[in-house]
Amino acid sequence: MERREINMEKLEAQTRRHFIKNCTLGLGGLALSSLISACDRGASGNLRLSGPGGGPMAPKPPHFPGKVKHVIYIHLAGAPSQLELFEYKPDLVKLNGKACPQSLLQGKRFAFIRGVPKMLGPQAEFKQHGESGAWISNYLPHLSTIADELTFLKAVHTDQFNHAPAQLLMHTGTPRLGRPSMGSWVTYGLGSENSNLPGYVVLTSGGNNPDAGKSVWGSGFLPSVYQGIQCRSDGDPVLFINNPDHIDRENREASVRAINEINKHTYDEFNDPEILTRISQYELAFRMQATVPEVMNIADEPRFVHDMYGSDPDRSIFANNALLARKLVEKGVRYVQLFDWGWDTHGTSEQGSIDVGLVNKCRQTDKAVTALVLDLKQRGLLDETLVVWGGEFGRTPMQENREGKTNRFKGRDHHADAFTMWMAGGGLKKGFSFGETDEIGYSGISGQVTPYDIQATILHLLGFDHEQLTYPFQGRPFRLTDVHGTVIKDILA
Amino acid sequence: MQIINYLGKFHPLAVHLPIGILSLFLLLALFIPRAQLQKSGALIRLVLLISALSATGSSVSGWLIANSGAYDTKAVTGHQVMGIALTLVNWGIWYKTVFLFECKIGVYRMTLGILAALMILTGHAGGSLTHGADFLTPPPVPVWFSPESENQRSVTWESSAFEAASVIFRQKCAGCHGKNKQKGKLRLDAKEYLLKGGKSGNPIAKDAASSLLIKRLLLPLDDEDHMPPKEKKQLSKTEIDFLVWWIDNGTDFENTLRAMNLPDSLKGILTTEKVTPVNPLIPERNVEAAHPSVVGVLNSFDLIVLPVAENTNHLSVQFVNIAPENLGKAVREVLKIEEQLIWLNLDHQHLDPETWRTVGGLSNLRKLSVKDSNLNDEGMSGLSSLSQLRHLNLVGTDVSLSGIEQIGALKNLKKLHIYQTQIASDDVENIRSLFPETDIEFGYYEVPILKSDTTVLRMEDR
Repeated sequence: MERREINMEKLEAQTRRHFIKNCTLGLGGLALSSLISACDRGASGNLRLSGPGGGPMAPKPPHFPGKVKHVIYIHLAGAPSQLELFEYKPDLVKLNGKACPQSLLQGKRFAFIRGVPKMLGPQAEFKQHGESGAWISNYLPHLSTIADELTFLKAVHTDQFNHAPAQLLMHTGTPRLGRPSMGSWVTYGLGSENSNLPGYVVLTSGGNNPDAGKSVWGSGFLPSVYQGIQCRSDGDPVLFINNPDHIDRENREASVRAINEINKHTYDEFNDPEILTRISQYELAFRMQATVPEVMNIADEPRFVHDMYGSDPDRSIFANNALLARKLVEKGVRYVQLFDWGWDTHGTSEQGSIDVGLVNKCRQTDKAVTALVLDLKQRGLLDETLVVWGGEFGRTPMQENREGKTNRFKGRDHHADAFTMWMAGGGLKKGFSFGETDEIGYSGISGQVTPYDIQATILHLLGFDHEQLTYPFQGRPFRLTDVHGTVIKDILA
Repeated sequence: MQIINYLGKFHPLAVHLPIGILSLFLLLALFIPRAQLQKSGALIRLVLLISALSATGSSVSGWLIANSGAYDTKAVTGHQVMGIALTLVNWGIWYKTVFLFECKIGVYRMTLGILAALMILTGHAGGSLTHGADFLTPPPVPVWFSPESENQRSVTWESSAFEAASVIFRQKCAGCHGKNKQKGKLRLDAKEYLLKGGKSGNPIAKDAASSLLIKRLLLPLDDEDHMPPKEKKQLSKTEIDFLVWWIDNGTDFENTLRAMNLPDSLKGILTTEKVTPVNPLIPERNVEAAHPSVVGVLNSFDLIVLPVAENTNHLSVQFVNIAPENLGKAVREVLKIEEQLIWLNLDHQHLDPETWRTVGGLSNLRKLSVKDSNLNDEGMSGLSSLSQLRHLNLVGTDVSLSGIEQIGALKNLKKLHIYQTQIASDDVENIRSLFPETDIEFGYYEVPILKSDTTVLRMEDR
């Protein structure tokens, strides 16, 4: 139990004298510290400066042999419409334009729908694809060719119907700020393989960051070394990665070493794990100066790769990030988080509609997502990588009627009751669909799963018992799934 | 009348009243000399009256429950006779308390002895009816301090389907449908009883859909006829699925589960089989831990040496961070953990031919990735000794068909990645015939370029 040993070591290091010395106010300080302990920076101590592997990002074994070692989580920020992509509901065609029955509205809250909205039939054409017969619409012509590689969750439901909290719930296990994101938990549990690259990389596209902001890849109360590192797809991948003019690499190395010496002294005195984070970040940043520009450079990729992904080094697009995700995983990065913004199709504008805007969002991502899955597969990476695709919630079978008026374009409101996500990769049943919704896709009727269940399943595939991957904070062990979550055994191979 | 059945149900509750009160009386009589007891004669009489009344109540409710048909009448008789006798003796000594205080001391003791014996025997017989005859049989002394056993017979592949079903019946049904109690006149603890059925009919039928047993199991929990009753321990989904499968397969009493081809989804009922499927990438038997000093040396080369999980000594090694000058030394050092090493990643490494041969000595390897390394056909000959190999990733190496032919003896191979090697698409068929059981990933997938991929849709285009 590496993690426990580290905790013990930390505790041993804090001698009584040290403790009293730190409490300059003596007993008053003691009393005060117990009063304000609710606001401490956590009993974080799961770090060590040296030792096998070294550093807080040293690789660690999972609880049991994992099926996968890496995760690529593609989040469509804004929430794509499951009813235009994966949920074939012929009954909804018949109901198109009819008033929504009261029974569906009673006791429900929507972000924008007011009064009695009209039902809205599917805007896409559906067909069954592959041997598995998965229903995929003509919005996704590429993805439908790999239907047999995918594992669908058709009845995901959440309890949040606004973007930011729903995104936080999906990635941090709570709709409120302050908890570590899944990528942080995973790098905390498994460490990182490549000591020259961050363990947890975030790439965004679509023009905006997700509504929940950087908290969706934050480390919460975990040491900040575990937070996601956002790399830019434009210009320098990491800001200030290059040395300033007249500073050469040797000069930089000498200064980093000097700074870390000082930091190490400070750590020896105060034992604050955040100092360790700082030291390892300095070291990592220095090494990254050499490796990151190389890994993040897609200009040197052969033509056929760009053709496959639809990537273009001269532009800042999702396809570049998909290609980068493969490259990063290939180099041993543990968790890659792709956010693509612009899927919130209410029907208030042309590009925010389900018959135009959603089509364009699909066109921007479909080829790259398909290429990513196939590229991982042919390189033998799909066996040890889990690709997750999904939004933060789904969209209503009703047309949105903002302020009681029908929108100018066709659009759907946020819908928490039922939506579709898919996964692909090691340890899953391929070409398998789990869960069903009713005849209009309003609610799940079987195989309902929650974000917690998905988190538990992702951790399970990585080799963790989600109930055992914990961190002591504010007097109790915390975990990603808090008190929830069941591994979705039905989709495991 | 339903009310009679209802009142009968209070019997197991009511009996504890006379038992408690009579015990109080007997304890008083045991510790307090008779003369002194006599001084509180009125109080003693009151105690006896209450116990007699409650004993009467117990007898009546007992009679009601006995007639409800839930119990074997023969088994009930003894308990019934003794219970009534106890009640009568109780009334007797209440009526003639004076006699009790004034008779010879021997008679006094004998009367109390009879009372105590009747109470204990009645209580025991009643307990046996409710909980089964061996409920209070202590475990043999040697196992007193052993961990709790599941008290079940094991179900293996060689068990008959009926034995497997019996284990379920014994755990979840026999309390009411077994040797000691036959609610609804149904017993499930032997083939002949199962076929004979009970009051409602035969539990088994030609298929599960018409089987009364399955119907009762599948009724909603709130349904009065649902079995087992709501408050009792329910069958698991796998157990129900298994019974359905068993009945659908002709309610076989003879053949083993192996012979009947127990489907994978029902393996959960086997007590010997781990529910988690065997991972081909990990040997079933654990090994001794690698010597820490060897691991220390490997770590000093910046290798990542990790157990594949917390509770195993099997190791995985990754060369991702190694400095090129240490490569040869590190591979030779890795040989020292040959016994433990099952996963090896040599991606992007450039080894000399001698060192590639060394890799062939890692005989326990299950997973080997040499992606984008300098492995070629010459080096492949060394790998032919890796008989345990399950996954081999050759992506981006110079290996050609002749290199693959050299590892033709690796029959355990489950997955082979040959994308971007010297293998031509014409060779793939040859490789498939060489490894008919292996999943061969040749790659070269194309995602066609569609016009729509690069055009933006406008409202007017629709």
